[in-house]
Amino acid sequence: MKGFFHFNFGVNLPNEISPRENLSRFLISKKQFSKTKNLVKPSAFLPPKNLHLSVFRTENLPNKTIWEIGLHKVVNRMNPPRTFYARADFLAAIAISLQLQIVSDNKPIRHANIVGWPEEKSKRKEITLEIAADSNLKLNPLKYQTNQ
Amino acid sequence: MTTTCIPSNYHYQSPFFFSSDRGMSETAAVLHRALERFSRDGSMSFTNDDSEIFEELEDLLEECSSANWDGYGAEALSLDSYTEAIRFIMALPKTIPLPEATVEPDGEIAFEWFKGPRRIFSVSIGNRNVVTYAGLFSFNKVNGEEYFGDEIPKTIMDNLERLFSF
Repeated sequence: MKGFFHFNFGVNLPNEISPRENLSRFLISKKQFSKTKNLVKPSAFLPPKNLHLSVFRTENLPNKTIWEIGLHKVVNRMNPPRTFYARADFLAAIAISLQLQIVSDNKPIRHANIVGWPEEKSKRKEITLEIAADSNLKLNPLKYQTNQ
Repeated sequence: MTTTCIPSNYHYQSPFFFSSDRGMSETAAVLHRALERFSRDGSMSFTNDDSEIFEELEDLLEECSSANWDGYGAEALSLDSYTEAIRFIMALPKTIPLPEATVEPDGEIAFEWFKGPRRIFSVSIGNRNVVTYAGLFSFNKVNGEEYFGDEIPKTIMDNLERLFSF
């Protein structure tokens, strides 16, 4: 039970999220990114009906640990099982600059929701274009055999 | 009259062709039947290039026809959006580069054009003749809704022209 379960995921994280923190959104649909263009598609950042966009606070975590969080805290909890393709990394500052708020709930640990989305879908789409443009695509090395 | 020449050695597959041995959800089966009706309409014609986007739409149908396809509570791909998306592509002038297709958490299909890191235009195909769009042109941004009747709305065409003009 060493490794993942032994790792301190950061219980002592401050509740308030710094603009300089890195956030990750885990992607389990091929349609949310383009491997050939090396980009995350804007639709990956559109929130569901409750207007809570699920992200994880991944600042200062080793790359391997971030993948483990995605696998154990998100993908493995899904029914039916899913393929874990990639993640989108971006700075909290991007969401904050677009008048969104990031609310940490630690359920599961390091989880947060991006809230404060406009009612109009067209405005939400515009925001997602900005986040997508400033995010980095990371392909899951277990899926794509990359050197990340 | 429009005619299409296809070389005899070219393996052409209609974008409306579905292999029957694929597993399908109930929604997918409904969409399949709707598309079969489309394909019997002899007034439609399409180029080989179009087939790529129809294949993408078919992929979306397979991947996103059940709720929660994204693992975050997304709605299943909407039948209305799917048929409207086909109509949108048929109405798109052939001079416009084909977009990439995706599905959004509300079940609507979106067409996205990527010209560069901050040069993106996206159109969501809603139910009942409404399209929702947003664009990023370097530091300029646009968003809005348009009625989609028989033709692609002028605002959409203007924004696509803007995207590809420089």
